[in-house]
Amino acid sequence: MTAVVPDASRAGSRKAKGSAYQPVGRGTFLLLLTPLLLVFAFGFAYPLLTVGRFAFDRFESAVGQIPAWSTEQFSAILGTEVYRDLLVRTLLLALVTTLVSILICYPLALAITRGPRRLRGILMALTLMPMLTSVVVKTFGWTVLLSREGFLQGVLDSLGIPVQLLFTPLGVVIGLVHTYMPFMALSLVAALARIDRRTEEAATSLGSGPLGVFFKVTLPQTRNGLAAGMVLTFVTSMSALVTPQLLGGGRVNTLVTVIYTQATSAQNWPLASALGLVLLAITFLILLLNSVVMGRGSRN
Amino acid sequence: MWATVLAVLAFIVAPLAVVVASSFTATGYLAFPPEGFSLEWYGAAARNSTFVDSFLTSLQLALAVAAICALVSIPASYAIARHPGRTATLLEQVFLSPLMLPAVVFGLGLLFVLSALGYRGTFVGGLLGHVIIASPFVIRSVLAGFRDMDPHLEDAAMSLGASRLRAFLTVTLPSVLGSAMSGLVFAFVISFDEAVVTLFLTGPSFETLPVTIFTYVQYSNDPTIAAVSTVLIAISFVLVALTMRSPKDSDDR
Repeated sequence: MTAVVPDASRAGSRKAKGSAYQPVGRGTFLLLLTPLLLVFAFGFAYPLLTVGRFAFDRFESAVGQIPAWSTEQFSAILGTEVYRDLLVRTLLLALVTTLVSILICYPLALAITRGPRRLRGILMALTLMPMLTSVVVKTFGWTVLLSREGFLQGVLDSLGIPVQLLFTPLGVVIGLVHTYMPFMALSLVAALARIDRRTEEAATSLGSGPLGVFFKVTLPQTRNGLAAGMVLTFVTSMSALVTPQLLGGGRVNTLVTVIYTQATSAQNWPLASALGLVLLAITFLILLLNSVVMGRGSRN
Repeated sequence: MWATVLAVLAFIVAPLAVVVASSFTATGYLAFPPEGFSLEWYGAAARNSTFVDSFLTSLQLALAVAAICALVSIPASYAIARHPGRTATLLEQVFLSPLMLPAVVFGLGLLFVLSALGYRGTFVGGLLGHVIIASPFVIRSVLAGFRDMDPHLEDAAMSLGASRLRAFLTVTLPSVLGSAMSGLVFAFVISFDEAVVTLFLTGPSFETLPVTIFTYVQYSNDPTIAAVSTVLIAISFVLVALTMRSPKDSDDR
């Protein structure tokens, strides 16, 4: 009961704050926004529109890019087995990365929210550490660990497990999980922190075992956080460039690595643009699907 | 469960620990576990003009990005915070959208536009790309500052006769200094560590440190990259540690 009172007063004061601001006039509003709007119009909107336009150009290796309104690139992407495989591989890598992230982040998030209080800060800092390091540096570390002469490969070899790590999909997934798991961990920490622990105590006192409590009470209550973490991990790992490029070594291609090589070495800009639009379309579809499902979930 | 947590933590720390540890190796090739102890690779990095040039480019770029983000994002955030409505909400979403958009698609588009104008592989082109990527972090942080500050301060200054500009400069801006600083430090770090968009915009006369490392990793097995990477890790960590302290400082005041 006591906890409710300061909350209410704070909400009241915030409401009063909102009305006390002196709004700026329309002219000042526009004047203050103009510099950023110009930067975004030229540096953001125009480039994206150019990608949209180039995707419908034609390309012949002898001539180069030919301005047109053709769907040649899209029919090549959707109709050729090479590109269909590429699409499937990209989605599979992102899916596996997301599922592995759930498995390793759930125990971590439980430790952060329910472990000894002194450890929580350290655990959280360690979890966020990959986010504070350039993806190039992290991936460089993995190339050393996963390489043929590297530590992990040595362990596998001495155990007689005939699995190669560097320049294989497995190596790429290891790097992707490491780079994008903080998103999953943060979502799960937020979801677990919101759970009313009394629901678990109630289940225990009604005779449920620890596994039953976890799967029937704890896990269902983190559904929304889990969904948010999955969407973020999937979308970001699908768009990764540095990790598949360095850990795949040209042998594990994704939509994004092909966009990069087509744009920079092959100079086939129409194909790169069309692949870019496909990536954009998948991203939007996932975000849209998520907002529809989440909207329905919160209404129930 | 604790065994799993320890394993996960080892997984998180492993690649960074390997980079730092192997930068001190005494062997002529990357080795983990490192053999011997030596600082010679830091010396080698300092004598390598490619690494030094990239480092200086990255430093100048990140400083310029933070400065431009401050100049264009702080006024825009103030406008959005003090003129609420449908337009402001829409603009806020547009300005934050680089956070959700796949960076490759943006890098690709910027490559096209800059090539057409003859600015591919230039510092200015890289600057434009980095400002777009880093500005959402400044906007998010500063917008929260403008929305959470005590509105009576601004109101009091203006009713005592200060113009809006004077009230902004002497009252509003100082009271959001903490959130502005942490936003700008983030902009610096984002720019300093950025690789994806930069890989599309790089050229012989414009190469940042992450791009140089990216290139070296593919063709070389030389511990100098480990030394350079350790420097990059250290800079990001120190800067982020500083921002984590700054909100506490502003609370004390």
